[in-house]
Amino acid sequence: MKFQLINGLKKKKNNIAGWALMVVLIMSLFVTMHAEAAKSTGELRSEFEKEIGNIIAGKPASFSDGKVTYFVPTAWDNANVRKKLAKTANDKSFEGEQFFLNAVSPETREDTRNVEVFNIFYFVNKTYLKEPPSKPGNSYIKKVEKEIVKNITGSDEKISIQEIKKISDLSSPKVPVHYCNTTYETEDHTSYRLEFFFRPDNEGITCMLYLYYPGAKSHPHVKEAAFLMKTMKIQSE
Amino acid sequence: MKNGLNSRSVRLSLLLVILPLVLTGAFWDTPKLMNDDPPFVDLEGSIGTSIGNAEKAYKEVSALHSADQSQKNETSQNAQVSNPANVTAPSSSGKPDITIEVSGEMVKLGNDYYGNPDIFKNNVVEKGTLNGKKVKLTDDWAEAGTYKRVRSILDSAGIGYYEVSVD
Repeated sequence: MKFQLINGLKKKKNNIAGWALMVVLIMSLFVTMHAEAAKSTGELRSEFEKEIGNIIAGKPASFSDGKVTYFVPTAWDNANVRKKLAKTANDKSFEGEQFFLNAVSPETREDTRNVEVFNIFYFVNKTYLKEPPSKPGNSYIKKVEKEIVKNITGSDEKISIQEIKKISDLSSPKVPVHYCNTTYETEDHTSYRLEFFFRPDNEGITCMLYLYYPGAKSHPHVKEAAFLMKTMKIQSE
Repeated sequence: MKNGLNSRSVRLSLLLVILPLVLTGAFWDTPKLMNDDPPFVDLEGSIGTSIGNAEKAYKEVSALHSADQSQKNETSQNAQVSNPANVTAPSSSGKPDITIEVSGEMVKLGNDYYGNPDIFKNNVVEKGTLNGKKVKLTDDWAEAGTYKRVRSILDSAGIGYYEVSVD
């Protein structure tokens, strides 16, 4: 009886140690995930979230045979601003639009590095992935998004893809909006900030990229970019 | 006798840590993109084009500023300053506000450099009145930006834009 009691106490101690270890391991996992997320919080993300509900005037636009539709803010509807992204030389179905926002507001620019560009394009899984999955999972999609970022920046910098609930809820509740930010350095060693927004679907990912100079005093086109994002729809949704 | 590391809860804890990693695909291969493709977005080209556009826009603004300055001087010399009734009390920024009526909707013309975007929220508006005078928003307002827009609105209303301080 005495032996059983001691044995029982030892077992209980082992169990407590095990549970404690489990708690520590799980907590460390959460701390790591949280640190990754906090590290990549963007400067303009909060402004996008603030502006996403605003409605301004726009003209309907689409690409990829009408798969992706959205409204272009009227101030952006100008030949100096809009540029269609053409298909690649090997005729892969890569389409979208670039908006050179410097041409929207002719502000006096003492600093020519003060650049703002908004891009929207559609990444077709079947075309751009060597082994496209039939129904990609969320974690796989995030990995693809990381590869897209690497392709554009040409950098191996570690990035973290997050989900933005606020924008997701307002644009299309069923589809998550993924987000990440990073930097891009030009040949003359000027650093620009890049903020990516991704809207995945079963066949591909609609990618939006906002590029700007971090030293700029203001970013007057966030409201318009947020409007375009809000009005965007993917036909399979 | 079993030690702590062999206990069921320890094994469970390790499983709980490893399982999510497996499920989230942490151990899977990274997706491979088609290597022969160029970058999806040519950032270097985008930045160059954007700077080019900025310089072009800057020249347009400079030209408009010069034209504005000469007209302002001319107006002052002829003592034909536009009707002060068109201008409300200066705002806190020291620049005057103007309200205009476009298609029956009162909108405020901003006093900052970019103007208040509310005035352009309905760009299909072509005609209206500004304090009883005809207003026409020209088609090219988007090309040269707000400064030109402000000018074209006030021009078409037949009043000077002397009071609207657009520096």
